[in-house]
Amino acid sequence: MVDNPEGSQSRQRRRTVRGMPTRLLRLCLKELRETLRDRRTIVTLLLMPPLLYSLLGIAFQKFIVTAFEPPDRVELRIGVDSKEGKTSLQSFLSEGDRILRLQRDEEQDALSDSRDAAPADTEPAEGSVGVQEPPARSREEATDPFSQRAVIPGDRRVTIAVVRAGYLDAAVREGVIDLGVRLISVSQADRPNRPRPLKGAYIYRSASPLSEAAVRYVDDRLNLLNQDFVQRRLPAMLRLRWPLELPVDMKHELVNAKPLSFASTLIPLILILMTVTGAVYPAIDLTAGERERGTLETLMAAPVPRLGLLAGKYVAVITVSLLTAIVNLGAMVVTIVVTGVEEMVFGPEGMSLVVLAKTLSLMVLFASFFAAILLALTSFARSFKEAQSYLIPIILLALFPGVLALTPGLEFSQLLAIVPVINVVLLARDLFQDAVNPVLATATVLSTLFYAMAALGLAGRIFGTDAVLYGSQSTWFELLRPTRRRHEVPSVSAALLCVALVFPVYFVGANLLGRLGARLGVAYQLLMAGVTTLLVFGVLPLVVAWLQRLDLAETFRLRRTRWLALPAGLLLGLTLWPLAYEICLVNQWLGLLSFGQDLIESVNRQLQSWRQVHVGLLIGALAVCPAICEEWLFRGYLLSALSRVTSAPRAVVFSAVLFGAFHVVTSVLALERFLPSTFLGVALGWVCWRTRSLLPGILIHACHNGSVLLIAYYQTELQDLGWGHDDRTHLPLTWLVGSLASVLIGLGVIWFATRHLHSSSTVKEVADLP
Amino acid sequence: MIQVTNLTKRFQSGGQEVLAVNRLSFSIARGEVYGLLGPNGAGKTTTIRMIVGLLQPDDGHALVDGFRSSSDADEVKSRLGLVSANDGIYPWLTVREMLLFFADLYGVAPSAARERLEELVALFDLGDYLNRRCSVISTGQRQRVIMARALMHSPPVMLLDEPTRGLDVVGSQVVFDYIQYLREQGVAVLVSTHRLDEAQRLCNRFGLLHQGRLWQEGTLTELQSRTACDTLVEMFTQLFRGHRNAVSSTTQMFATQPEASDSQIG
Repeated sequence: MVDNPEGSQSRQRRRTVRGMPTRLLRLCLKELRETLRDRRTIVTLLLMPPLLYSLLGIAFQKFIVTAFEPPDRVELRIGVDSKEGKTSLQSFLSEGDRILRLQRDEEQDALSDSRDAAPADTEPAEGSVGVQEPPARSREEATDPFSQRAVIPGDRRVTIAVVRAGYLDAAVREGVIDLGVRLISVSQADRPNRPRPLKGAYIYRSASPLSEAAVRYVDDRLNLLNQDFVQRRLPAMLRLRWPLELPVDMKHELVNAKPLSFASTLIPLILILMTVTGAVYPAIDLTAGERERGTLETLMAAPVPRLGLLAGKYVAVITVSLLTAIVNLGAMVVTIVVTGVEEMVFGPEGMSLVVLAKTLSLMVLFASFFAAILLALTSFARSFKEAQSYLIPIILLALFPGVLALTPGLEFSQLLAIVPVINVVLLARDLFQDAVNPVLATATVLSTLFYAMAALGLAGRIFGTDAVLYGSQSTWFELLRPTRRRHEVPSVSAALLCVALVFPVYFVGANLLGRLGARLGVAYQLLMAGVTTLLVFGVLPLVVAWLQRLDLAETFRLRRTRWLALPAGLLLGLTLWPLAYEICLVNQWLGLLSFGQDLIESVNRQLQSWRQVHVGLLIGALAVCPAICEEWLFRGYLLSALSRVTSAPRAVVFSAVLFGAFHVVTSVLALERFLPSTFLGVALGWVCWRTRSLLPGILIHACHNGSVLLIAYYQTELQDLGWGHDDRTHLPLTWLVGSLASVLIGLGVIWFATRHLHSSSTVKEVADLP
Repeated sequence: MIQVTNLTKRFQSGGQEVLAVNRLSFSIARGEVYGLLGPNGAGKTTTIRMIVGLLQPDDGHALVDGFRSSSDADEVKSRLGLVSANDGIYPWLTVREMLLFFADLYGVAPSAARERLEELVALFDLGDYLNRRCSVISTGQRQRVIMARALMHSPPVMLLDEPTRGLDVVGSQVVFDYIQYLREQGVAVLVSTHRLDEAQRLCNRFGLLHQGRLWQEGTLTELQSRTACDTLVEMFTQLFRGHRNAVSSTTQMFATQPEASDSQIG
């Protein structure tokens, strides 16, 4: 039992590191078992929504019907205060309908260039003005004017009811009817042969779309009667030879953006509520609950990184949050379908697969974010009660951005794309309005994921520390205070925080530069690009590292390297570009990039503008500066942090993916840059890991960027020398073989030059506590 | 297996600094059962937490199998088993699930964990409630489960913090048998307790702790010759009489509450 020879432990640890994904799955399964077997969870999160929505169904319908632009199928309820008034109103509306129908028929005929004479039975009989003598068709409709009407655009179901005299205002106010029509009785004593006019007032609710729709419906038709009287019947009565024209005849034509729909406004708000509600209980139970149960100490006594434990909890919280949201959404959809407002909520196509996919993807994004934020907050808590007191303000705060989506005219800008929650809410709004900006959407997704990772990193710093476990410190500030201990390299949690800080600054900086570029001129633009790169990728990580009291030389791998690695790096830097170019062509196959005329012209314009400046400035701003600063962050800070918790290959690949992702989002969405940048990131990461120095990577990066820029800069001269190349085709095979051979030689030399560094396997493969 | 050198820990409590553990030094060899004895608040639990790496010492260090707990926490933790009276269990997991979960935390391969589980089920007679949820088992059964949990990864060192607190005679006897079993298996055991009678029966060597300081250390024979007392109870009475005039009996002294909060100082 106790024989635990040296070496077996380290083998066991390596096995642990290698088996992390399956272990993470087992951790997550355990957390899900714990959470979902608790009947309180099932009742609160999964059974309550269907019950709640069923009970709230009627109120829900009423809310939707009154809060949003009602579709034609929703019935309008009109009240009149007398039976005579009802008959009279019905008659006038029928006549208005008839005229509307005629007008539309005429418009359609005009469109088809086959205008026919209007049917004889619809022509108003001379002298029969008004509605006392409606034509045969109208008379037929008048018997049941609002149920047997043929379907015409804008048509809707209308019921007219008699409301007790004196209660019309109250009926409108309380929503019993959408519109009250108070008619004034006109005495016919002094006008026996004249038609009885309709006089009165509309009574309707302000800011009620349904009420306003009812007013529009009635007013449009009654105005048509007036118009018809002036334009057609009056000239006949006066025996004029020409038709009368109205002095003012204006129509409303809306050409602005789509009106805010239910899906684009309330769904983000509902998704926030659903995902937060679903995440609250498991987040508290899996963090503060561990301490209350007395299992936290035993858990922390196990040799598992805190971040690993939290990753399992994070996946469990997301799962429960999504389950809750799906159950809620399902119950809500059923309620919507049952109450008959499906079309109004989801548009004419109803709850289609596209709407479902959009909703689910947003749900995942919201859940990923909130699960991490809630875990970070509850990790501070020492009890259920304390955790609840932290979360309630957060839930209320989270609702505020949701309400923003209801603000008409709020533009989704670059700045808002990096503001947590608001960015997802606005993305959701645009998504449901089919008006998504791909750059902002990608920035939103990436920044949200980075923020979530940063929150998880923060949770990893706090969860299970002696401060939480035994209350060693009394305030939050003490918990967050930088450690007095000096560390060699950053922790993963610190690296995640750093990425979450760098990405939004970089995104805003790149966009500002993109906007100002045209005004600045090429030289200043390049200068600003260099300065931005220096500040974002160079200074920011340096400040973060300094605040964390890190060993800068160790963190940023500021070491000398074997001299042989430098010429090898030079060879790699000069010969990697053909392979990167071929990988870029894979985008064509994936459909991410097409070498269309637009792209070629755009590139040519860029090249021509570059030729206006000195080549030294171009190389300095776009080759040397990014090479130093990007290596500083990605292969320095990030790779050092990642190497602490995972194997070298994984750390290299993960840092390369981040490197690729950063190159995608600039002022435009450059998806085609992801694959070549990631490829380059893998090569640079491997070199950095082998040499344990940043210098060869900087050399490779600078030479690679420099060679590509020089080829572009001297494109004309190269073409004159016969080295031109058609942009739309693959490179010559000889070039590719030469490039591949050079790259292999370069990598081989670096491997050979650094073999002594890896002979005793001194690379840290074992996870340290974050 | 365990080497504690000048271990020191201070806490802030009510604006004042409390010295919870004061330059504590001792060592425990394989197969040895070491009793860390003292009243509540003597610093026993704090010492154990520092050995595990859950608390950082202000001074000194603890080595487990040559690894320093403050800097090689994972190496130390993988060699330790911990049983504490405060240990909780996951109420919604079955006993089997919980034991396998902890084996997983310690990096035991799933197949090896299942084999180990079978051994421990036989050893602790867990068969009847192996597939029952932890929330429905009795206190005695729960104690067995906690002890089995600490052995799932076959640690060479076992730390027992007040293992018999809250247990009846039968439950305590199970713990005594457990310690005996560990001794036979060659495990280095550290038992912290304030029940001197049971310690006298179980331990090879003793460290008498009071107000964070180690006042006496040695085998029972050594302590008897040094103090001229027959039992540990008498030794404590004699040792602390001079320091606590107000305390007239060992019983009263062992009931004394710590100066700092109980959650901080064990």
